[in-house]
Amino acid sequence: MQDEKKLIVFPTTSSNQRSEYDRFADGHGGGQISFLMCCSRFIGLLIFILLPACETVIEIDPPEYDPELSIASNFTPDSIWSAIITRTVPVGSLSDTPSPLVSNASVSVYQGESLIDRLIYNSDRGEYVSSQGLKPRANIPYRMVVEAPGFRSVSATSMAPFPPDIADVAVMRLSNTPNVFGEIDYQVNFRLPNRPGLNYYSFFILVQYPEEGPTGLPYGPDYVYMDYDSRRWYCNFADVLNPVEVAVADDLGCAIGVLSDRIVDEPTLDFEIRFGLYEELTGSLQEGLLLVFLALSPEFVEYQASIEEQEDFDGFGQPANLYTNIEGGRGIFAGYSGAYRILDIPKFGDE
Amino acid sequence: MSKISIAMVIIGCGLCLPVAFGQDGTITVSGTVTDSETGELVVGAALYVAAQDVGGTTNQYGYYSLTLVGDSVRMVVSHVAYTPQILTYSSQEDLVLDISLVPSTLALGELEVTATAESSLQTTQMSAISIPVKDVENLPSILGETDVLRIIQLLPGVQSGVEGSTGLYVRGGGPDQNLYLLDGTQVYNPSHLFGFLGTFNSDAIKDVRLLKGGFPARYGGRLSSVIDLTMKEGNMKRFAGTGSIGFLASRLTLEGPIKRDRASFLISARRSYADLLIRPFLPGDEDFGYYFSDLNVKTNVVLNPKNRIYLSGYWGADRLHSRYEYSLGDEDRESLSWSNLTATARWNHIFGARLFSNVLVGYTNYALLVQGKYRYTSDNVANIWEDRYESGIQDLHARVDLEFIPSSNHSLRFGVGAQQHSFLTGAYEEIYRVGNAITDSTASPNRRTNGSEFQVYIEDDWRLSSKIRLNLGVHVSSFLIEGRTYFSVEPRVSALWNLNSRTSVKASFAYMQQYIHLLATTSGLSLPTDLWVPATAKVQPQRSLQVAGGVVRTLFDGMFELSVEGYYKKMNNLIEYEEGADYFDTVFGGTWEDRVEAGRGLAYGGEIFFQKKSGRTTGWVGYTLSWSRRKFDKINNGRWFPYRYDRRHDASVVVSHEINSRLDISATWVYGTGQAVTLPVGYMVSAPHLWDSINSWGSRLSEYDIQSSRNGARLPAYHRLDIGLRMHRTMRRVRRTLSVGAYNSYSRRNAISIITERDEDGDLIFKKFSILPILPSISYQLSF
Repeated sequence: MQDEKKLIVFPTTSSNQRSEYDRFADGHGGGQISFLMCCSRFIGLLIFILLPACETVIEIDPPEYDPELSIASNFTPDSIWSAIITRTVPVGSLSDTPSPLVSNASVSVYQGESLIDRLIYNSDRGEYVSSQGLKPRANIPYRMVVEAPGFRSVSATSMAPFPPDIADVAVMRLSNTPNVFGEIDYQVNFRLPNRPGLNYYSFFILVQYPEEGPTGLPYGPDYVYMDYDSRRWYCNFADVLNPVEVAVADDLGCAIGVLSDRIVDEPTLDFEIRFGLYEELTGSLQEGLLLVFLALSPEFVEYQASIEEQEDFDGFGQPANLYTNIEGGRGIFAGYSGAYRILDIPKFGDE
Repeated sequence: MSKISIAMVIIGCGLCLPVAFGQDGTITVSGTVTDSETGELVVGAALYVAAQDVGGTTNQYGYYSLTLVGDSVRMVVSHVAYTPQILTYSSQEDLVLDISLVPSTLALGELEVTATAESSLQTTQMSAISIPVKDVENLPSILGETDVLRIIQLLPGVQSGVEGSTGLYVRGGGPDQNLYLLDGTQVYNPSHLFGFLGTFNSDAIKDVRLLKGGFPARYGGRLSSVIDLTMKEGNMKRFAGTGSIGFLASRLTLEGPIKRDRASFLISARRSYADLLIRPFLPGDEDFGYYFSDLNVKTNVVLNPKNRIYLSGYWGADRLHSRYEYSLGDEDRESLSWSNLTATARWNHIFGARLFSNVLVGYTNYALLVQGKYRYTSDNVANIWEDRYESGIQDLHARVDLEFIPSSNHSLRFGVGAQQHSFLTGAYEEIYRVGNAITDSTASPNRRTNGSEFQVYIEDDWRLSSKIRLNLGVHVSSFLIEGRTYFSVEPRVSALWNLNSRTSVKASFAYMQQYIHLLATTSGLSLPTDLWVPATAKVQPQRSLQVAGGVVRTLFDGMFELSVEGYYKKMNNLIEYEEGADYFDTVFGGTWEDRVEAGRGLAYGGEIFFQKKSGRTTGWVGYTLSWSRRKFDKINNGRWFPYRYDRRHDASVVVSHEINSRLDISATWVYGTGQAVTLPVGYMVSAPHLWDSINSWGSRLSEYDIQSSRNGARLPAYHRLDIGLRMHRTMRRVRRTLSVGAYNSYSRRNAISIITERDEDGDLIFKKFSILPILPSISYQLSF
C-alpha cells in the first residue's frame, strides 16, 4: 500500500457520465455547456473567420504496417474459457479483408508450463471456446498462446482476482417525493474488505425496464446513474490509474464506478451510493435492481482506460493506441471476477 | 572530472587574467554612436582601428569603449544601415567621442566596406544574426503586416511551426525555449491572431538580434535561443510619424523630442478591424468578432553625458467574443482573450571610460481569460450558468549589468539579476444560478504558484592574439519553488580563430538551464491556451548542452558572407503530455503535473547561411540539414521518436532589390520537409469498453484505429513563395509608400494537418487540411 496523501478527483466527462446540467438542459434544447465547449466553438470560429479553409484529398503512404494477431478475451470464473481471435488490417486494405475473424488459429491456455485447455472455433459465435467446458479459477495466472498461419505467434498472461466480498448491502429510500427531475432518491450502502496489495474494482447498478422493446422483450438491462458525490471512487478507468488531486463538490453522475485501494488504509471500504429512479418506474419494476461488483486485473483496467483515452481524443493531444498485454500482437487477455446482489426497491413507508 | 568541471576551471583561469595583464600606456576611447537624423542610439555599430587590429561594437545602448595604444588613431565606424565614417584623432588621454552616423539612403555598393567592421569574422559570438528592421520592412509581409518573427523564421536553424504561424523552433528546441526580450523584459506569448502574427510592431522596433547557440554568460533561462528586441527611443531631433492602413490592421507611430537632444518619446499603436467590418452584416441578435491591438510607448531622458534613463512599455491583447440573444432575454456570451503587458525602467550610467552600467527593473504579465455566460428562462425564472478559466504568468524582475574594459585585450561583463514569478496554471470556476440564488458552483483548487529566480554571471571577451579570441563565462542561477531549491552552474565558452583576413573558424559550448516549461497542445496550433508552468518539486528544470562549430568567410571584398555551422544539442527534463492526455485534462482532471511525462531530446545538424549584405540587391540563401528527436519512458513504448518539427531539409531564399529610389521588389521562397505526425496505419477489433459490453445495446467487439509510432509519418513537403513590391514617393516631406504583395503566391496547398475520413468501403482516406492559399495584400503608409 503506498503511503500517499488521500487524493480526490474532479473527473472528466465521458459517455459514462452526465451532469445535472445535462439532465436539466435536456428539456431546453441545450446540452452540456462548458469551458470545453466554449473553447471548441472558438477554435471552430477561428478557422471559419480567419482562414479560407481548404481540404484536399491527398495520397499519403502510411508507414509500413504488417497485419498482426489480436486476442479479445476477458475471462472470469463465471464463464468457460473463450477468446475472439482477429487479424489487424492495414489502412488501404479493408476491402481486401472480408472479415477480420481468424478461424484457423491454435488457441491454447496454460497454467504455468502445463497446457490445460485448447480452445476450438465456434463458427456460430465467431469465437474460440473451451473444448472441455472449463472455467478459469480465481487467483491463478494463466497464459494464452495463439498461433495462426501467416502470423507471428502471440501470447499473454493474466489472472482473475478473487471475487469481491461485498457485505452489508442495504437500500434505503431517501425521499417520498420526486426531485426536480421527477426521480425518487435512493441510497445503497455496502462494505468491501480491504485486501492486501493493490486491487482494482468496478461497480454498477442495472435495472430491467418493464416496457417492451421492438423484439417484444423488455428493454434492458440499463445502467442506473449514480450520483458522483464520493471521493472514494471515480467515473473513469483512466482516473483510477492517474489519481489526481482536485476539486470540490460537483454535480456529476455516472453509471460505472471504478476504484482502487491504492490510497485506502482502513480495513474496510464503506460505500454510500445515491441514485434516482423515476417514480413511475419504481412501482412496476419486476426484478428489482442488480448491484454488480467486479474485481479487476490490472490489465483489465489499463485496457479500459486506454479505450477511454482513445474515445476522448479531441485532436489536441496525441492519438494513443489501445493498451495491450499481448506479446507480439494486439488486444487484451485480462481476468476479472464478479459479485452480484439483487436490490429490492423500498416502497414508500418501508423505511 | 566532468566536462563541465573542466570547462569551469578553464573559465576560472581566463576570468582572472584581465586583472593580471592590464596594459599601461594606453588610452581609452569611449562614447555613443547615434543616428544623425533621429538621434537614436545605434546598436551593433562596428568600430575598427586597422593599424592596431583593435575593434569593438556598440552595445544595446549604443555605447562603446576601445582601449588603444598611441596618440594618433584612424578609426572606421560602420553599420549596415549607415554610411561608414572614418575618424582620425589625436589624444594622449582618455577620450570621450560621441559619433553620429548618416543613414545610407543609397546603395552601399560603391562604398569601401573591406575590413572596416568588426564583422562576424572578428567576434567570438557565433550562431548570432542581427536583423536591421529596415530589412524586415523591405521583405514581403502577410496581409500587409510586417513581422520580425516571420523574418526570423527564414534564417537557417530556425524552423517555423504550422503553416502561417510565427512560432520559432530553434535547433530542435521547443517554442518555450526561446527567450523573447523586449527592452530587456521578457514577453511570454509573442503572438497575435492565434500565432499567425507576431506581437512586435515593427514601427516601434529598432533592432532585433537572434542567438541560437554560443550563448554568452549574460543570457540564461532558456535552452534554445534569445530573441533580443530593442525598441526605438524616439526621435531626438524632430517630430516624426508613420501611419499605415492595411488589409488586416492599421498602425500609427508618433515620436519626437520632448527636449531636443535631451529627451524624446515614442508612441506606437496598432489595431485590427475585422470585427468592425463584419458587425454591420450580423443579425441584430448576434455579435461575434475578433480583434487584436497593441501599444508601445517609450521615453528616454539624457540626464547628463553619464546618465540616461529609459522608460518603456508594451501592451498587446487579442479578444475573440460572441453573443447570441434569444427571446425572453436569454443569451449566450463567450469570450476568449489573452494579453501581454511589459513595463521596463532602465538607467545607464557611465562610471568612466572603461566602465558602463545598466540597471533594469521590469514587469511582465501574460494572461489568458476564457469566460462564458449562458442565460435561459424556465418557468419565468432566469437560469444562469457562468464559467471562467484563467491562466497566466507574472514576473517582477531586476538586474544590474556592468561592462568593464580593462585593456584592449579584455572586455568584461558581469551582473546580477532576480525574478519573482507568479504562475497561474489554470484556474477554473463555474457558477449556476437559478434566479438570484447560487444553486451550484465548482472551482478548481488554488493553482497560483510563486517562484524566485536569481542569476549572477561574469564573462570575458579575451583577445589572446591578433588571430585568436575567447569568450569565457559562467552563468550561475537558482530557482526557489514549493520549498525546493534548484541550483545551476552553467559554463559558456566561445572561441574564434582568424585564419586570414577573410576566414574565421569558431566553436562554442553552452550549458543552459530553464526553470519554466510550456505545456502546449500537439496539434501544432499555437494556441493561447498553452500553459506556462514552472519547474516544481515534481517536475525538474529543463537542461541542455550545446556544442557548435563553424567557419565564416567573406567573399568579393566583403559584399558576401558565407557561414557554415554544425551543432549538437542534448536536452533533458523536457515535458510532454502523457499518452492520451491533453490540455483539457489539466482543466478538468487535476493538476498538470500528474498528466505529463519527462524525457530527453537530441538535436544535431548543419546550417549554411550565404548573405549578400550590400548593394542594390541584398538577401540570403539559408539551408539547414537537421535531426531532432525525443525520448520519453512512457511515450512510444520508450523508444526515440522524431520531434514534431524534425525537418530534415529546410531552405530559404530571400531577395530584396532596389530598382530605384521609388521602387523596390522582394521575394522569399521557403522549402521544408513535411512535419512529422502520428497517423493511423491500420484497424483492429477488440473487446469493447465495459460500458458498451454490458448494457442492452452492448456488443462483443468494437473497432479501433492502430496508430503509427509517435510522429512516424510525414506531411507532404512545405514550400511557398511570397512576393512584394513597394512604391515610394515623397511630397512636401511626406514619404508615401504603397505596398502590394502576395503571401503564398502560387497558392501551394500546404498541409496544416491531416484529417482522416472513411470511404464507401469503410477504409480510411487522408485529407490534407490547408488553410492559407494565396493571400494578396495591399497597404499604404505615410511617414514624415
